[in-house]
Amino acid sequence: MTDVDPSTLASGPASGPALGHLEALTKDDLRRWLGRALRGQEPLPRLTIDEAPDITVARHESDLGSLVRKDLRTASMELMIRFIDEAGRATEDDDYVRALLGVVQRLGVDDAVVSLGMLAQGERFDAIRVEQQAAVLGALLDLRAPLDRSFWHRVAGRGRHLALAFTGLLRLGMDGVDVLPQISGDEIVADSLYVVLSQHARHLRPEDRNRLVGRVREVSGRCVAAIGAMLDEWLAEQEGRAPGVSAPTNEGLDEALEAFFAERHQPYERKPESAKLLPDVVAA
Amino acid sequence: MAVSQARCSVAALQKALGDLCEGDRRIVAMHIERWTRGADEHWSRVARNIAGETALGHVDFVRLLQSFAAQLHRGVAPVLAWQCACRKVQLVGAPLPVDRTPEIVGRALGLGDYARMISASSALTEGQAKDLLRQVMLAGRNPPRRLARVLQRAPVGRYVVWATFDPQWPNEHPYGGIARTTKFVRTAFGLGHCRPTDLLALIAYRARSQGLELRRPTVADAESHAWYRPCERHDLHGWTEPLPPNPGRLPRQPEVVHAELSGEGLIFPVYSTC
Repeated sequence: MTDVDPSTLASGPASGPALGHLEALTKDDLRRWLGRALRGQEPLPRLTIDEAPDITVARHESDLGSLVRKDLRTASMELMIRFIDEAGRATEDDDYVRALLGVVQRLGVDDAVVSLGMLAQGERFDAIRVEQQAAVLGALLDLRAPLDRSFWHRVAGRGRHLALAFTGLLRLGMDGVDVLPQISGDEIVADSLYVVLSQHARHLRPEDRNRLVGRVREVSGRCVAAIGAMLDEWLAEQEGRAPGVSAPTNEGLDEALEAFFAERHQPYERKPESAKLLPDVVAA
Repeated sequence: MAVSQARCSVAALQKALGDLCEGDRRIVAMHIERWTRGADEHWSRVARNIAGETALGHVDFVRLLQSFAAQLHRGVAPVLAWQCACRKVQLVGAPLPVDRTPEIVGRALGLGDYARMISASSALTEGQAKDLLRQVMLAGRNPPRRLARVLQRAPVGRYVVWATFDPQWPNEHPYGGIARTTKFVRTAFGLGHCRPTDLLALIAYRARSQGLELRRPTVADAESHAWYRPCERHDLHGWTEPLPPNPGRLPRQPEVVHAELSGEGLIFPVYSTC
């Protein structure tokens, strides 16, 4: 027979589902709790059972008092600094790194941009796992980190994460398109690049979109087959629009409304509200 | 019926406890009792779910409790000990017979969470993946081919994936014929930690034609999730318990679990709640 260790009883279900119990933790305990939570080792009030832990924490953070919210930001920054300090020496789980990057973004820890940018520019960046490098670069893009062309060219020059480098460069100017022939991607990369290009073009003024189309046309023949085919498809779609006419921003909405009315066996007629959507008006 | 069900379930727990060694039995029974009588409503509910469990087979129930006891003996906090024990005994509920397996199953998940999975399986950032998701949702039944493929490469969930289906129309999108509001979905599907302002992606994917094995969920699959409800012993799958107050008397919905799966069988539209 094994005796019951009283220490196990003392710990009890103190960390229940609500995050209210965080109010009672010291800063050190809060940091340890956050580290365990981001590793999936703490029960959390998840929306679905498999929800990523940082998303759960961020969703419930607004219910907490201002002091503990501030301490949570500090704790997430401390964990981030530890990850950066140990980069290349300690092996972290990919899901943990994504959760850590996610929590600093979702809690609005602005200083993380600088720390992550320095990590990405340092020599030890190459020592962390490729998946984690991609997550860091993705976070820098989502955080709109002010990184210049030379940074993204260096990323591209390493021969990895070319699709992310393409996004970074494209945001800085049309010459980002010059990276495309370097990308030796398959259909997976091609589909992602198609999304990047389409999302980027959607926000351009008509004249800038036409310039982008022209640059893409120049490089498409020099790309590997999968990327070249994707670019040809993208070009055909872009050129299918009347010259100088911006992409209709309510295209998706129109399709959704058509689907909605079709389910109810009712017709839906597209009614453009802006002259921008009428090629005839533009041509005239 | 409820009384006999409770008797039967308590008997299942007692039977499993009876097959533990004295030390394991004492420590497990003590903690379940502590949770049951404790002030923490959440863990009290988890304890009642353990006591009411009907989907775990006897051998697996014993294994779960033994694992829980081993963690507790090592000094692991009870909450974490339960979670660790559960993760060793998952996806062991009875599989749905093939002839009762629906063609289409679906699930609700947070938009940001889905974007995370899409990002991890593509060359997109999470922000780009979220933008893509919105575009696909607005595109309805026919999203652009390349956008659809990005989603179809992403998994539909992690670890143990909980899903539902339309019991009346098992070949249809389970969210196709319902009010797609967060309020409706959280109530009907028993998503207790979902807030009225959370936006959910409502996805559906092929099950039977993909050879997907669907299982009845167990209390171990639910881990520390208190919204799981044990159901009748003879049920082929689980059932949600609509959240109170449920003024619209929304009916309970079927629940199944399956292993991680890529979105190859994803069907469109992908809906969003509003």
